[in-house]
Amino acid sequence: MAQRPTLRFLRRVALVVAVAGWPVAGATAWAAEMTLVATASMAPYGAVLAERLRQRMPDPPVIAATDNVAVAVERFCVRGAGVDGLLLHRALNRRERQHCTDVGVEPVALALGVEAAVVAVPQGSVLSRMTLDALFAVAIREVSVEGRNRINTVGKWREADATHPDEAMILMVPADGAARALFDDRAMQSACRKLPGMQAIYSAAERSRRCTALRQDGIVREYDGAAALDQALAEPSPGLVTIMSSAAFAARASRLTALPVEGVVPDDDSISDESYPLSRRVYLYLRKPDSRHQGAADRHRLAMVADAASHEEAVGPGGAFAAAGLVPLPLAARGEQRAAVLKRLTGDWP
Amino acid sequence: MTMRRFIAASCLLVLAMSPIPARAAESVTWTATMSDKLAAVWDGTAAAFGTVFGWLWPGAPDLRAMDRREGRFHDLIGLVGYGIKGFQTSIGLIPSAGSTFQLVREMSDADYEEFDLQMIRFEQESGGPIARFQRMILMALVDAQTLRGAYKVDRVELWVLPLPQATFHISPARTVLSEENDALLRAIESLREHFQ
Repeated sequence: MAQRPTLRFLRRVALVVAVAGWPVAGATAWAAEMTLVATASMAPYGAVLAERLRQRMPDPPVIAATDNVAVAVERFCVRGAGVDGLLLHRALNRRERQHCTDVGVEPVALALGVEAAVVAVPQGSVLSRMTLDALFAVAIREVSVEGRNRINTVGKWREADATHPDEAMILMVPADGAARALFDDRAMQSACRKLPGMQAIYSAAERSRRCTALRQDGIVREYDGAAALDQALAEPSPGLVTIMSSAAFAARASRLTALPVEGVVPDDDSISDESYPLSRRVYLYLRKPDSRHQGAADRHRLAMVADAASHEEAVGPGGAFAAAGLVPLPLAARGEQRAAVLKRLTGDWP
Repeated sequence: MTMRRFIAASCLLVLAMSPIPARAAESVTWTATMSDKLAAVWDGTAAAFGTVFGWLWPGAPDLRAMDRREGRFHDLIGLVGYGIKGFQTSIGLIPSAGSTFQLVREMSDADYEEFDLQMIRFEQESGGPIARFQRMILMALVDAQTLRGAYKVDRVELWVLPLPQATFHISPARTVLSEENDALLRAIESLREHFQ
């Protein structure tokens, strides 16, 4: 008569299967495709990162783009197998970090550099300085007058700021990209917080939509791409002001002057330390490897991505990201960050 | 100071404080908004309490100076979506003074970003225990907004007297509409249907 397997025997079999299956699971993880997601405004920096990873890794990660920041964050902060990295034009905010933590994802932040939106005027312009409030007063579609919303009719710079010359205004704003996001978040939404009429709106989405809605009477013009910008700058009017990325400005620096914003001139120092109001760091976030679900090979690839992205050849002066338009972080910050990120990604490895 | 003298001094002080609302009222015009009026009353009351404390306990904090330092705190509490609803003061042997903030708006992504920047500056500027306590309140309010559960912090009471204290009123995120709000909602819906 055949003997029935005892409980002890079954336990032993389970243990052998678990031990033998561990390398198999690791090999499966190695085979899995690694994916990073980037917001649309991060496309130039995504391309730089992809090129660096192609040079260093036999099987580099795929970088997928999405227009919607919330969707990108949602894909990154998902329970279980989500995307491995996120390229974002700003830091994850407290709510997003909390969401990541809630689903068991620990984001490891790596600042790639600092992006800036430069307020540029043609050389010899009548304007010599700019404030965030004046930009908002010019650009906003609706204004609140005595508790009622009305269409903005400000037409001259002096009407936006009494210290400005009495010159007809034209404001050119990029249609998209990191500079536009900076303009919306730091100039428009910041100044909008001072308007009681706007602050009475409960919904964050509706308030943001109204606070960033640009006027459409021809005074504010959106441009799409370098060709459209150069066309506008070919015959500049005296009151022309253009918002552009620091890279776009650097390419046209001989023809343009960067205005100080809130008294701060946009140069490498003020952008690098973010004292210039229209500047902020852009980030690559990587998921801290979870030893329960990820094999050693997969974790090694994550560390290779972090190493490639934080190397001086990438984030230093003259590095790949600087060539794409980012201003490098201060030297000490770069060194500390690289050490901290690599330690967090590899510190508790067996 | 004996207990009898202390009680007598307290009674005198209570009497001395009685014209405070009138003094505050002089400085506000009828065209001022309700919040301005409340702020003026608070200002007068805080000044009076400052005087009282200074007389009874020479080392007591100057509430006016404290109020100035709290400017950033009040800005930040507005940034996290809370607006002032009212002030509470009571006058007696143990006076109390506090203010109530109500949730008035959701935080946008730009608000969260600005909050992080402002908190860094707040930490750099003020490192004392009161500032630390204020930052704890702010963090709690922001964390409450990040909750995706069934509850929300719809009201916060902040007391400066007799002791610093924060009271959070937590209520279900989805509640039944009141009779008035229900009537208002129906009126809006019928209006929308009419225009469609």
